[in-house]
This record gives sequence, C-alpha cells and structure tokens, in this order.
Amino acid sequence: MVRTSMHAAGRHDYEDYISLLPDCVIHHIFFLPTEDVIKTCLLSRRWRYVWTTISDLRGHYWSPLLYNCCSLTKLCLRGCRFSSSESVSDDVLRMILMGSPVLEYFNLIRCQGVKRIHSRSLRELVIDDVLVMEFTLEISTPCVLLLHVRGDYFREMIRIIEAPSLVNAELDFDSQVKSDYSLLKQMLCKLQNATQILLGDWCLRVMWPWKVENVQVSLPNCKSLMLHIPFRQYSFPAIANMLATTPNLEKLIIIFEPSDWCDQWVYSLNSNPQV
Amino acid sequence: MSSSSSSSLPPCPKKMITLKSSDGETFQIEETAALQSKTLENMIDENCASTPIPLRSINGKILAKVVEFCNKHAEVGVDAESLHAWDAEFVNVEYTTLFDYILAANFLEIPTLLDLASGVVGDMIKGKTPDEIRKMFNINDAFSPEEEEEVRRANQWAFE
Repeated sequence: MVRTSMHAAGRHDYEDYISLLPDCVIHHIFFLPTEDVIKTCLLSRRWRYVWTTISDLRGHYWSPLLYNCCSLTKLCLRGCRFSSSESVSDDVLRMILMGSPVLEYFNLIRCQGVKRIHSRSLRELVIDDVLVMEFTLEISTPCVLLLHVRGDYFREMIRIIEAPSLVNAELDFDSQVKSDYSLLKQMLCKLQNATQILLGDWCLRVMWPWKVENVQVSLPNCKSLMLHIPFRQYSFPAIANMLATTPNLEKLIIIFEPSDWCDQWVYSLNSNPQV
Repeated sequence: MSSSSSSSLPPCPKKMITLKSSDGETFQIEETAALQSKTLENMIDENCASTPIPLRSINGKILAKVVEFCNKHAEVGVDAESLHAWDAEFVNVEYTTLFDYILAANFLEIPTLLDLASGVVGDMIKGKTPDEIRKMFNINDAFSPEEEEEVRRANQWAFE
C-alpha cells in the first residue's frame, strides 16, 4: 500500500516528494474546504484526478468529473437546483448516479427539481427537505435498505417504483396533494418487507377517514412503527387503522407535534357540514 | 488488555516489544504505548510481537520520532493543553519530515499522528493558489499553459 522505495532510494530536498504520496494518504490531507481540494487538480498531471477518488465527498459542487466516480461510496448534495431550464439539468443527477457504481449512501438536502433517483448500488437514501414542486419524485433503488424522506410540504408526491429490499422506511413528510388513498396504498405496498416504519402527517391524514375493516393494506413484517403526527382529532382513527395494517407489531411509538398548517386544515374540515 | 495473567507477581514487568527500522536500527517500546498503532495492536493480538518487528518502510530517524510520539501519548496524567503544545512542537519540522510522519502513521495506523501531520500539510495548502502550492512543495510535471487552460475549463465551476 505504501511506497517503500521512497526511503530506500534516498531523497533529495529538491524532489517532488508530495506527489509521490499514495492517493489514500493524500486524501487525509484533503480534510479541507471543497474549493481547496478541487483546485489541486491544477497542480500537475499527477494531481489532476486525485481529488475525484475521495470516497467521501461533501459539498455543493459537481462537475463532469463526478460522472465517473468509480470509488465514490458516500455522496451528499446540499442546496442543488436541478431543472431543465437552469444550467444544471436533472440529467446531471442521473449521470452522477450512473457514474457512481459503488455509491452506497446518498443524501439530498434542500435540493429542488429532482425527478428521479435511480441507482442499483444504493443501500441508504436520505432525502431531507427536498422541494418536490413540479414533478413527482420517482425512486427506483432495488438494493436500498434504508429510505428516509423528510419534508415540510410537497406540492407533488414521491413514488417508490422499486425498493424490494427496504427494511427501514421513514415517510415523514407533509403534502398539499389531495388525500388520495390509492396513492398511499401504492406507497405502503412498497413497504411490505420493512421491519421499521415511520409515517408522518400526509400518510396519516390520508389514512384516517377509512374504516378499520376497509383498510386493504397489510404490513406483516413491520415490528416497529413510529407515527409522527399533530395532536388532532384525525390522529386516533389513523392510529387505529395503522394498527390494523400491522398485525405483527411489537413496538409502537407515537410522537405528537403541533403544526400550524394542520390547524387550518382541520379548521376547514370542521367547517365542512358533511364531516 | 492482553497483559499477562500471572498476577501473583506484584511488580509486573512492563511488556516491551521491539521494532526494527528499514536501516536496521532497533527500538524498544512499551506494549501499552504501541497499542496506539492498530497495525502493532493486531500483531500483538496475534502473538507476532515476540520477535523484533521489521518495518521496512520506516527509517530509524522517523521511527525514533514515532516511538517518541506514542510514548508521549501513552503517558498518564498529561493535561490536554500541554499535550497540544507538545504536538505543535512535534510537527514543527520540514515538510518532507511531515510526509514521512504521514506515511509512517498511515502504515502503522496511528490515527492521532496521521490527523496531526495531515492537518499541518492541509493548513499549508489552504487558501493558496496552485502556483504557490507548486513552489512550496517543488511540484514538477506541471501542465503546459494550454493544458492548464483545459483543466481549468473542465472545472470552471470550482474556480469562480
């Protein structure tokens, strides 16, 4: 791993010693602001691609070099705006994922315009406060074990296309999308193998109007269920329904949290004479 | 952890292991101090440390310093502040020696030394222009102006 010839050969002070360091050692030196790391590509031919082999790359930069990161295992993108009208199209994300064949952990934070996450290598996908505005966000990750989606509100929905290995699922988001039970049912059906599930506002709000006997989804593998909901009257029917879908549940945790937006929603619901 | 079980002898002699540098020098180090190196720890665990351990990638001058570092960091009752000052003095050396420390720490897997020495080199790079870094470290094999322009263009987004 370490070049032993450096000492054996003897060293002179005029030698370009730093360039002889193995990449894995240079990566230790790269505990620096992203800009400083990437600028090292200008140093010499030896340095041109060293930074691209870092296995844990943080930062809000990307470039065509990211399209071929054969050793990248963790990637965190923060504040990226993917959209067809901007200079950075949603193709960029597709190319990054295609060019990272061993990427295992992917974290998107406050990004916008993500249409699709497709990766055959991903084990963990964490989506934090992503703005799902114009398009449905499609997730197609056959090997993913952990999927966490957190967000205050989505104007559009997420759709889990493929995630058969999912064990740990967190769908803790709120959405203005109408309470479409078939959408929720589709989503829950993809959690068939999950043992740990956390559901948030939207899921439970869609769930509550249903009578227990009409709930047609079953999550037989779910052992641990966490419900993250505001303390409102719809909460209890939703909890009852979720208990009906999880026959083998061992642990139930309910977190009640106040939410202003929900206040208005329930208010308008109450003012509707039909309910 | 792997100290002898013959606890009936009260003045338990300190267990020492012997390291041998690339140029044939030998160094004694207490096992407790050597445990900071994961490489040495594995060898001790697998009972491979009873004979001198040859370290063909580390010369005597550097190995002496590494042993000194491990001994200092194994001392009990050293307060963080004075250890910090000691560390700062330890890495106050020519950059070529820093690289030797980094390579030795990488080979022996001593995270404290690796982080310390890498951090100093990182600080030397931080905020500098490529030209300044090239001069500082005698980096040769630089790009031709045309090539540099091309690399710059390919990574335009990082240089704005």
